[in-house]
Amino acid sequence: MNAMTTRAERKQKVVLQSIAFIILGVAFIFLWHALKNARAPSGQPALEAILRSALPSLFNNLYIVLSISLLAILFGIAFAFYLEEWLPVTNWIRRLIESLVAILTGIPSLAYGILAILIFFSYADTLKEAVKTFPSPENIGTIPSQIETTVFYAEALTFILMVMPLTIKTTQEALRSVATPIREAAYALGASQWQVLTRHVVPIAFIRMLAGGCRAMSRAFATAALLIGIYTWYYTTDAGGMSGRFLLFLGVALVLSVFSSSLTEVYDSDLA
Amino acid sequence: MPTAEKQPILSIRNLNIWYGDKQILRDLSFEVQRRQVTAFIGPTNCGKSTLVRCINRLNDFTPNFRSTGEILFNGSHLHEASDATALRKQIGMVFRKPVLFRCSIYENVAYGARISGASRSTSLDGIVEKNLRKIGLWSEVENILDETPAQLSTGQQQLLCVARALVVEPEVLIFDEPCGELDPIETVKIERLVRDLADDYTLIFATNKRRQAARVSDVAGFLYSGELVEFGATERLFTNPQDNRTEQYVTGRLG
Repeated sequence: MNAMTTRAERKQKVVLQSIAFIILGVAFIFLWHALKNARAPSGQPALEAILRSALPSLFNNLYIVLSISLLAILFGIAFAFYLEEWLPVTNWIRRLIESLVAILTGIPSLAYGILAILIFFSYADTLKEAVKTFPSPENIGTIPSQIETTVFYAEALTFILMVMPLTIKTTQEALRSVATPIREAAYALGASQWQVLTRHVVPIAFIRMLAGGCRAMSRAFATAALLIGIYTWYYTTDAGGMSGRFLLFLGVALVLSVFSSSLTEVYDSDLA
Repeated sequence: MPTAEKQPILSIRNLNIWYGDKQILRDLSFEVQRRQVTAFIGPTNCGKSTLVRCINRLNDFTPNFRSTGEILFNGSHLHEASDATALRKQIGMVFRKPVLFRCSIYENVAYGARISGASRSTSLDGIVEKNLRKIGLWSEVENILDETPAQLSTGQQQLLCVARALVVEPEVLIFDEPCGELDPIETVKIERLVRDLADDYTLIFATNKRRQAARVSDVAGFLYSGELVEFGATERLFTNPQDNRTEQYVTGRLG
């Protein structure tokens, strides 16, 4: 690789990264403004009203966080496979998405969580309209019916946006960790792309993908725990009911992240 | 079919290759005859690997890869074939570093048959034994077929890679510096094997050791910074080179 190509590549990368940054920045600023101007019926600023009404139901049970983030992880993995294995490195869609992912995974999960919740909850009704065609959560067995449809979708989107970029990133890294010579050796023997994936890439990358999934999950739980902590501290005088859940979520997050890093450790020592 | 036998198995015309903006190969034209060893020599980074990887379309996976010109394999255009997978079954490859899969010796050899849909049966046992005998490794691994290939020496691993490539029953077998990681004794084994295989297969051999090319090949080409400087019978190329640069290279004054 000569100096010219690397410089050109770097320039392209900077441009793409700026585009991604601008997209995200504009989206956040726009939504933030809309949010600040909106007023809840009671006359309170929307921000406070939303936090007050949304947070308790959000963390009503573990199922929501668990099932939504599991789904997001599955989609994230599928998406990462598509990006990494089917789209060429030079494809601009792939590069733009990678830039977006890089920015999204860099945002601290707490800031991200609060912002995302504020945005999605203020637009919950619009979302509800948009996703009318999907089954309402009342029909899904594991989700208790007392949770409002709108709130459910808002929660779902929050967790998806929090978990998916990290899953995409870690899965891509796992897929890249499978050495090119192994792929080439298999291709040279006439293996199809599907055979290379199922026989070599997935078995080798599996542990890392699992570790990445756990890390993403841990992030979701940690954010949830912190939000509960803030809520408890800010809105209630009696912390009895909430702090237990706060500790539970924080504990789950901690266990998952420790599990994730130990998996990576095992994998690396296995290679050495 | 005597006429088909006489036709070159590969003919390459005006082949140019770029990675991004950088041109790797410039206007290559040559023909490869059946059941001969065709060697490509040249210093590091002269484009030998790029050239041989083009022949089984492994370059398809390289980002920014671009080529012009044509490669005819058995008379049909190689880069127009829709199914590169089927093509790679006809054109096998052995790499510089032996890459074995994380399974037993038996499964490594049987791999080519398995991906073509064979199940473990007596015929598969026969295929594994036949090909291991062909490369002369059978007696060494007969009793450890179900164990991991990691315990074998690098030379044995490389031989195993050759056996694995032969199971697919290719017409052409490409060796991309197969002895780059081997010691002299193991190198001799590979060279002898290459000579033996030339009775049944068309072999393409890329190396940067000029003496090795002189020992194993029938026809040789000298590549220098992406140009095919000279191409012809090995003996003539080494004893009576036409081009000044070839002479300098084979006598060791260049590269």
